[in-house]
Amino acid sequence: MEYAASLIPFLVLLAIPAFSVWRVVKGLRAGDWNRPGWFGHAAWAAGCLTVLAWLRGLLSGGLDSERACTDWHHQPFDAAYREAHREEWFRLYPLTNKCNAHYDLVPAWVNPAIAVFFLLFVVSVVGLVWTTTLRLKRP
Amino acid sequence: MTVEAVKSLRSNMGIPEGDGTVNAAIARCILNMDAYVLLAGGTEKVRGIQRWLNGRYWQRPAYTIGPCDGIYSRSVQQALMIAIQYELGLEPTGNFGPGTQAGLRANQLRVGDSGIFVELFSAACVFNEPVDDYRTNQRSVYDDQLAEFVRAFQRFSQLTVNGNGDYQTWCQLLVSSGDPDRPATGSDTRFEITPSRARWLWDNGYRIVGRYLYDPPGSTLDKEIKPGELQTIFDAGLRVFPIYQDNGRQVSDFTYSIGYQHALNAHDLAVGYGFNKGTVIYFAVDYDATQDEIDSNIVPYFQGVVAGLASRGKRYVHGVYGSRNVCWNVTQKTFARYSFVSGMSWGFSGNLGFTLPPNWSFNQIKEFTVTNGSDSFDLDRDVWRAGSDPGVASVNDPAGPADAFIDYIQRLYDIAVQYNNGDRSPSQLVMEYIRHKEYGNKDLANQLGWWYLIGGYDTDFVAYANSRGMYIMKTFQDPFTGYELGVEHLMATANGHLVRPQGSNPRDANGGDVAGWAGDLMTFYVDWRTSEEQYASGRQFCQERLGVPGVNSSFGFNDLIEDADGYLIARAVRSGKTIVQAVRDHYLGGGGLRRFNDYFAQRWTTAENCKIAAHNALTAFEPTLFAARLQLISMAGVMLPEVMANLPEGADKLDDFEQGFVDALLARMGMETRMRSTYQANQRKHLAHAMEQRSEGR
Repeated sequence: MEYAASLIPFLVLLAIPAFSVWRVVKGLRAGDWNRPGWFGHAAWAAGCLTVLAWLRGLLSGGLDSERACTDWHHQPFDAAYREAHREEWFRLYPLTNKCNAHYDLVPAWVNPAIAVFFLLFVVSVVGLVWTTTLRLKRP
Repeated sequence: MTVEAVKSLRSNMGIPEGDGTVNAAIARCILNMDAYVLLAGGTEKVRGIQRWLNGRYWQRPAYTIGPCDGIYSRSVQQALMIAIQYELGLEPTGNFGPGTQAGLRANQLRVGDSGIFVELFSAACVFNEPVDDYRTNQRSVYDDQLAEFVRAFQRFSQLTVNGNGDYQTWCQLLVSSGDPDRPATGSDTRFEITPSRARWLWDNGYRIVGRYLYDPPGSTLDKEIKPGELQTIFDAGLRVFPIYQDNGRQVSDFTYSIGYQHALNAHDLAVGYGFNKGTVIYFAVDYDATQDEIDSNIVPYFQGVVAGLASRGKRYVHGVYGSRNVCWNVTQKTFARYSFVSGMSWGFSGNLGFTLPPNWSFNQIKEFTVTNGSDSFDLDRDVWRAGSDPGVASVNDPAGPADAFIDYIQRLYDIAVQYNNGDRSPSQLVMEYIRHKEYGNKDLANQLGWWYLIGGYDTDFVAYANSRGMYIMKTFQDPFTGYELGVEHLMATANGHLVRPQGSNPRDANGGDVAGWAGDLMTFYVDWRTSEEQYASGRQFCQERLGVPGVNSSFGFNDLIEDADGYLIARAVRSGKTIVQAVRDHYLGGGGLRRFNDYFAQRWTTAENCKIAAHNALTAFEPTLFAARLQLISMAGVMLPEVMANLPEGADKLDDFEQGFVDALLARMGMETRMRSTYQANQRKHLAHAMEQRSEGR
């Protein structure tokens, strides 16, 4: 109950791309996906999901990764390991925030999800440009 | 109807309902004062174990049906001991004798083990929780979760950390002395430490020794420190901790005015010996004081001690020697810095059914006679807890406990003045430098989070100061309470309040507050939600754990001091002082003596404002506060307070928690005011007395 309720703010954030996701699915089912509007929604949804997945990974350590390790995840905090790999904790991608050599606070799904959503975003932008160009060239 | 009532009683006791018969054992329970339903302060978890013990052993002749009130007490501890003795095949006595000790040596446990001894061992673990933030449950299989708790318990108790239910851990769970023969590096004695005794202590692994400041008139013990003895101790590489005992063996030896006089005497003697400023002096309660006596005499005695030490300028800090219960009470009610626990008196009512106090520094576990050639002397073996009271390794040092910190601030400030980039004041640069690593440069989330809350820091100044040999000081000792204060948290709080000062409405909260009290309150809220099984009431949780001296929590006493001091230092800097002047006035002047009252008056003014500000910090939809709650609360897997407020009864529960925050602040203020007013009243009384004597002399 407590954990489920803790997800509410993230569910609210997921509402931002929800409408576009619905339009994308609806367009696919109707078979009219090759229009600029469809690619626009796809780009918006994929872009939002990329940002949300990245934020999920970024925030995994809270403001204090030591406390996140010891109190939230019950993992030993290896200060020497953290210091030795210091530059990794500031990387934009792939995200990582380890308590020790064996435990990463960033969930395993986050980096693949960022990659997939970002790829979809790029493909959607290309599709948007392509369909818009075709429409403009149409007599 | 009566039969049903007896069946219900038997069910509450954890024994079979049967046909509702009352036998002698049950009749005894009806006639005594024990409760068999959960009482306030009890937990279902402990009650479950109480019922389990009753259900399993109630028909055994040496076992007496115990209460099922959910409270760990002397009788529960005794019941557990008798259960263990039955399982060991002994004739139960309830005492921790050689047979029990031998039995436990033969029943050491580790991960993967199961059976009745694991059930008894894990029950003993539950009785000794919480250990810091670790808790556990009774279970029949020794699993990794139990091993994790055991490791925390072993660390806390200064045992070998291996996660196993070994002999020493069994002992430590069951009796206050633990294994009296385990290695210990501390000691205390009434005998003079001569060079040969000092050498013997060093050779046998002792590194610190407690010695008495005073031997009262009429005593034949001759126990006070002798001339030149301290140097002998230091020359041998040992450290020393001072103890003050003037009788202290019966309740009538403890009153407020006796405590006051003892403090004056202890101060004068300690000054005479050259003990440095900030040294902890342990005032002894050398008998088995009951809770009533603690309330009526012992606590007032220590209030007198506090006032007496304050009247001499707070040069020394008080610690307490006594049973676990005495140490708990004196710590919580008078801010005793450290507890020296008389654990070897394991039969004391004040040791049975109480856990080690969180601020324990020494645990006295055995008294024995040392034979060293032709010399012999009595010695108490004390387990010294690493990281606690270090004692003293020299005397007559000119510096006080905060002097090194103030010198450090001065050096850093001078470098900031040289740097002079015109953008930020030198005082702000000092704050940023000290906080930048923990509060701004730990990882990407930490960096972005603190940048959003209180702004970035000057990276060029960090490099500039580092190139001049500066470093980040981690802690220093508060001269008023003896607590170690975290310099980084203190300066992050000050930095936050400096760059994000409070608005005109004291009921609002902002990013500066998140760097101080509001951030700590959010983290503490997480602790409460994750401890809801034990603390349904947020107010009770705050009462027991928020800013309470000697209690480890995410919003501990030192956190509250750092929040208050950081706020007051920021205010002083904003009013035109340099940070050097601000910290000097606060820690060398009298600022720290009224820190909680000043903090409350300047930040909130009234209790109502304080409560509304706490509510705003936890629920207001303001971008900075919301971002902080996401990082500090949601990411911990805990529902946001604004979500809770919209659940059935959630608003009341949250209100209860917020009131607990206000209560905790008011309680610390009240204690501070009482100490100051008693100190001032006594000052007036002593001045009047001196005037009288002077006029009589004329």
